[in-house]
Amino acid sequence: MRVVIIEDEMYAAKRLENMIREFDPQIEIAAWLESVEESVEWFETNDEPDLIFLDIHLEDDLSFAIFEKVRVSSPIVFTTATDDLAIKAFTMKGIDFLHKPIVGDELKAMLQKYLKSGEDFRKPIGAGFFSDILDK
Amino acid sequence: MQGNKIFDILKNGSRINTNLAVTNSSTMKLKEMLAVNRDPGFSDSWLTNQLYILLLLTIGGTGIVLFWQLLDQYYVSQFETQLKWIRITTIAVYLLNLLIAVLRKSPKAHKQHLIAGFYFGTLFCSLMAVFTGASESPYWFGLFFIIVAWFIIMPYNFFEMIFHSLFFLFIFFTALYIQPFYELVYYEMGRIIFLYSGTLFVGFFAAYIRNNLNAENFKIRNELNQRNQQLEAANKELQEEVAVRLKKEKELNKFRQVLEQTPGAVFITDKHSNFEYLNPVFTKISGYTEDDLLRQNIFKTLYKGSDEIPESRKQVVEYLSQGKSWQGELLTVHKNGNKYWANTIAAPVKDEEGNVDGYIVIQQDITENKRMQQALESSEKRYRELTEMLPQTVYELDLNGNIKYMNQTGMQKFGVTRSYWGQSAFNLIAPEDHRRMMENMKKSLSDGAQTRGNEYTAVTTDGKKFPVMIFASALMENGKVSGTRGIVLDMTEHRDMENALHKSEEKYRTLIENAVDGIIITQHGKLKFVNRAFCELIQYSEKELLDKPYKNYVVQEDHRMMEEYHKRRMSGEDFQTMYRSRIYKKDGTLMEVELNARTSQYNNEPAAFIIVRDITDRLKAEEELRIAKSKLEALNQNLETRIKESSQKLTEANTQLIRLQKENLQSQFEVLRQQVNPHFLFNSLNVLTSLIKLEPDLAEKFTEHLSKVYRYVLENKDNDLVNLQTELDFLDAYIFLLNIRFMDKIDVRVSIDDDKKELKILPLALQLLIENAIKHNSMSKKNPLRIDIYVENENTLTVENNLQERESHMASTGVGLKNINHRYSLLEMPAPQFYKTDTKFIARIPLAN
Repeated sequence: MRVVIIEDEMYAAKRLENMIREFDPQIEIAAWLESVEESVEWFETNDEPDLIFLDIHLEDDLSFAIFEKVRVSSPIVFTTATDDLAIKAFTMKGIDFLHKPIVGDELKAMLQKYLKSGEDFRKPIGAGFFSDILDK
Repeated sequence: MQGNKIFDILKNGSRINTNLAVTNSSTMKLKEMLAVNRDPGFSDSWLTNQLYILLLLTIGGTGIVLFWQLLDQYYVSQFETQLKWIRITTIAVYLLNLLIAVLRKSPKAHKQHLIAGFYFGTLFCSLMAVFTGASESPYWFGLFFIIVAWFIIMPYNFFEMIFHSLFFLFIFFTALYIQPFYELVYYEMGRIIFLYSGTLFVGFFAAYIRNNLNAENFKIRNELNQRNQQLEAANKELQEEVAVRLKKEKELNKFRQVLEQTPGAVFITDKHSNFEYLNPVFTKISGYTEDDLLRQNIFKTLYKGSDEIPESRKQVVEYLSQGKSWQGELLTVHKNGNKYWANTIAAPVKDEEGNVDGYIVIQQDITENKRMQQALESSEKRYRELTEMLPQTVYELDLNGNIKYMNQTGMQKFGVTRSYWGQSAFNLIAPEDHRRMMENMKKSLSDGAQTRGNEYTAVTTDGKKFPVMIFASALMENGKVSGTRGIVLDMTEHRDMENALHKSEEKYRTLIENAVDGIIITQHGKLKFVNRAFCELIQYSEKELLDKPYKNYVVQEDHRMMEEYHKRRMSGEDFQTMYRSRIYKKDGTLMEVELNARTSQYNNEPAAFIIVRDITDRLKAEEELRIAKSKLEALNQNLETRIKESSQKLTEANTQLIRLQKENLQSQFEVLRQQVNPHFLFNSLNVLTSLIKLEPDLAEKFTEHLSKVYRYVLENKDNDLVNLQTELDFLDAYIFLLNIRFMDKIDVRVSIDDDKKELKILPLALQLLIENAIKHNSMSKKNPLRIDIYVENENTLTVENNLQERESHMASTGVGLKNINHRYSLLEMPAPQFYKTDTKFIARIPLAN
């Protein structure tokens, strides 16, 4: 099982990584991406992971911009400090999220759901999916 | 043919004919044969006619004579002339002989001439032989043949033959003794005698045989003849008998056809009750075919004995055995097991001596009949029940007018009982109506059709009179009129109702005449009825108005509409209308009227029934009302507008108030929110949780700084302004946290001189600006976010960052900056300035002293 962490703060990324490893060392952290640009490049050249942890604020842009450029169907879990709008959007779109700081049990639940349950949560996300959240 | 075997006859039909035919043909043949052998004198066919033989002989003889003429060339004789004369004479004699024979018609005569012919022939030959002289004269052969032929052909009996031979000899030898002849034949005498004897001998022999044969034939013929006569007699008898039989057969055939085609079922048994014959109808009703029953015993089949034999059947057997016929109904069993009633006639068949020879039974399936009868009975019963139930009088009279039947109602009404039946119906009718009733009765009897109802006065047996209406028709029985039948309606009620109707009509009439409004009835476009009020209104008299077209009095423009309504009314459509119009009074003035119309019936035809009301006054009142109303409306409108205006104002004020309240609350909330700044808090905690495990020392420091930040917030949230120094202290802690969080991605530099640190600033404004910058700009190691904070002049603090705007941004409320603005405006300080250049974002915050 491959997981990608898209997070621009090092400490946050590191912590998440450790927590995942603690849950199941078998899970491979396929990549740690810090910017939209980096992510897009990575998705274009790599196989889709089984799960993506996605921070909203990346170095260069909001992470939504990734999906403007590349089509991804891996299940996504957003990580966010409170941002009401985002939360609303996520629940509407049926996307899971985790509050920052990430709570161990909550993370476990996510991993369980998306990686261990055996269900297929793939949902293609492409351009325009988040346009109602964004200003555009 | 024996006995009276009808069955046999019928069965064997025309066998007689065939036998007879055979007999007939045998007889015929016999007849033919006898006809052929009619004359016992001759046995051969063509030789029976002696005349023919004579003819032949003549021709033959003549031929020979002429033929030898030729031969005589070889025999020279001195008797040439004599020979010639002999020849001529012979021929002449032959012909003469023939001629006379022909003239004499009888067979006896023919025989004589034939004999004569032979003699002449023999004589000729002899003479010729003698005169030619030659010993081998062919005349001797001729003689020989003639004599032999003569004996063969001539059917003499023995004595006749002896006689003829001797006679011939006598002639011959006598002739010989004529001198010239004697000399001639002297030398030939021996030969002559030998030849002649031989000839005679042959002749005798041939004749003997022939005669024997003839005799045989004769015997046979005789016998045949006898037989034939017998046969003829027998045949005649037979023919007679056959004729009689044929006649009988024809008659029987007729009967046979009758049996085959009769609609009745017929079967015939012999005296032992075995089936001999059954007709198709029997097969139909019983289901048994000929094959089933023929020669079978009736008691083993059709009427096979059940446990108990019904009386009827026993009776039949009894009667028949006594030689009597029986008639009645027998329950018969169909081949398929169903039972049916058969109307049966069973009779014995007797032969010529009167002995019972068999039985004949004729049956008729009366199940259907019985059913029909029952149906008829029940239908009659129904009819009677019906008539008894009717509340009207139903009666039947015979041709004399006497009561044959009267139902219960009738008997009650007229006060009679059953015993009264038979009496004359005229007793129940008032005498003054008798003649009319009789005439009407005659009419219904002769017409046969139902007459219309006639009214009479009826009288009960008590003498009470009451009006009636009688409907009568002829009563038919077996196709003939047997009486009358009818219904009597009691008209008393009817009369009463009529009177009541009259009275009520009167009432209505009075009502209408006294009405205040005009009431009219129009029909077919004309006024058919006008009441007094209408006449007064319109100023015309009733006479002037009746039967005039209503249009005459109505204004032109309303004509079309009224016409339409009227047409619809006349077609029977039932509807009401109420409308206004104007009519012309007699003086020519117009009157406004209201017309209230509906469809009705007048003299059995649809009509319009209209109430006409003068509405002149009403109109005036209406007009006044209208004016008043409009005035009121105007007033009302005015009032409404005013109210609307004031309420609008009120609403506006209200809305504004609410809005202000909302804004107030919002800004309060925002302030609060800002102070807590959950976004900052959680992000910081996020970092902190990482640090705890990864870099515990740093975590400790981080926590310290974080608490410092929040302490500052709590302490200064209520302050309007703070010292720049305090704010900067806070800023240090804040920046420390930022650095750990963002590391190389952010670079915040504060360069403020100490002397400026006494100036005052809005607390947390800087923090907000920094947050803003972070929010809206991208920050990476490659392109870190550079924020410079410095004091530009006495009054302004600048916070500028390099512009690296994110492409996408979430819709922000912009409240943050607005809040600063708002707070500054509340403090009545100049507003902060925010603007962008190509590369920078600059915020200028006013400072206070």
